[in-house]
Amino acid sequence: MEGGKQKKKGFEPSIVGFLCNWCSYAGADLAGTSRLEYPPNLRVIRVMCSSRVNPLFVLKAYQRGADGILIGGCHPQDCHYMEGNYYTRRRFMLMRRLLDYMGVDSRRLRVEWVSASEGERFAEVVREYTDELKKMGPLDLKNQMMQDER
Amino acid sequence: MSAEIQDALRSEARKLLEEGKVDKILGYCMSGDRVVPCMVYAADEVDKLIYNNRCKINLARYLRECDGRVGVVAKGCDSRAIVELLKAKQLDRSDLFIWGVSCPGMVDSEGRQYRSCSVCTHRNPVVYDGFLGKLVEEKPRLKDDELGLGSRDERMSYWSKQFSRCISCMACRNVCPMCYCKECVLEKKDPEWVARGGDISDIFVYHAIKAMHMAGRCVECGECERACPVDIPLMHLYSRVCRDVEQLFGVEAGMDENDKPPLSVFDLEADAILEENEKNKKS
Ligand code: SF4
Ligand code: SF4
Ligand code: SF4
Ligand code: FES
Repeated sequence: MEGGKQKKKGFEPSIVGFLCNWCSYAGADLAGTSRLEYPPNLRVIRVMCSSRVNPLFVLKAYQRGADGILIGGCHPQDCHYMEGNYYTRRRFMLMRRLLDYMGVDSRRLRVEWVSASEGERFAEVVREYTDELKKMGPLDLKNQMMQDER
Repeated sequence: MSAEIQDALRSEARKLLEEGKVDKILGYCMSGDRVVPCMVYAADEVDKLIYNNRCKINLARYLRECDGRVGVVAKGCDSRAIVELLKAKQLDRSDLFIWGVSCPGMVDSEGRQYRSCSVCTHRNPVVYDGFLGKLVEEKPRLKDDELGLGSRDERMSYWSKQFSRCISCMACRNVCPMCYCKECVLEKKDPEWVARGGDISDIFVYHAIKAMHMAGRCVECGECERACPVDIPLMHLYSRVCRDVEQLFGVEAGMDENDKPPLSVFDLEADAILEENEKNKKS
């Protein structure tokens, strides 16, 4: 657990992925159709654009047990809606700092740009992120806060 | 100095009301031994208006709810809140006559200065139509957050302890001059983002999202902390996001009506570099 508390053996992190329809989701799809292997820890939620992701979604996912969040969008200059990912970039840069200030490891929020043709890269991102979160252990926001409140 | 300001304010207020330039004045009055915000409508009532080091209340909160032409007293934080509200198109500049006043640093009934005032870096008003009194010297920004919480674990346990006392009364939102949303996510029922009477993780969501909403908007008036019945030092969260916005995007809340909301604009090249730097930062 974050805070150096008990670290479960064989911990499998759950990752919520908010993937934009036009690039990252298509990238994930390609990884699938190309039969690339990546860990099953990612639960995908498709959004029309990465900028659709409200910081509330991230917080809510943590609250419901996510250990990490992966926001996937088109590469800069490639957003289907021209500039959505530029807002995504600023918003979550800031949010990562806020999380850190509130005691949540900012690595638990990750933004990646993955295009529709980058199936292999998508699989690699998920592999790498799953490993990183495994090393970090669970977030378990509610229990952690309950232990800390005393 | 406050006495001079008070005299000048009364005569200016009388003049403006008599000339019919404003319909009412929003300022401070006494109610028993407390200072309260008040509205003065007639020239023969202006002697109710006061100004001293107990006038902590941020009047922009009440200005939002006024219609017609209003004369308003604005110290540093009121004026910055007005700027933010103008940026957000919540006020019409042509409806306002602003008397800028410098702030001596506000104190509570026992004479102790409020924390927000002791760290304030903008005691002088940033926007006004008339200025009363004298400018005061501004203090430099404290280099570090006074909480001095070293590690992330310390921060988690600090905020967990603080939030465990929160009773979700919403006072901190209700007094905030910047919380003008007609429909607030903290109260929304469908979907219910923040469960009322939920567990401590709901309180975490509450405060984290409120802090995100204060990014580049909080003017650090301290009203939220003062309103909190259980004394949670909330402003630290909002000050933190505002420092981050300043460092990252180079805008300070409440300083210039022409600034754009930092999360609604972008700078293609600069942001790409920022992104790289943030990624490489050791978490
Ligand atoms: S968040 Fe608090 S300090 Fe900031 S503007 Fe609102 S009431 Fe003032
Ligand atoms: S907390 Fe957020 S949504 Fe609610 S009133 Fe304030 S800014 Fe608006
Ligand atoms: S004023 Fe204090 S107790 Fe009330 S909701 Fe805000 S933080 Fe919680
Ligand atoms: S459509 Fe992919 S980031 Fe906007």
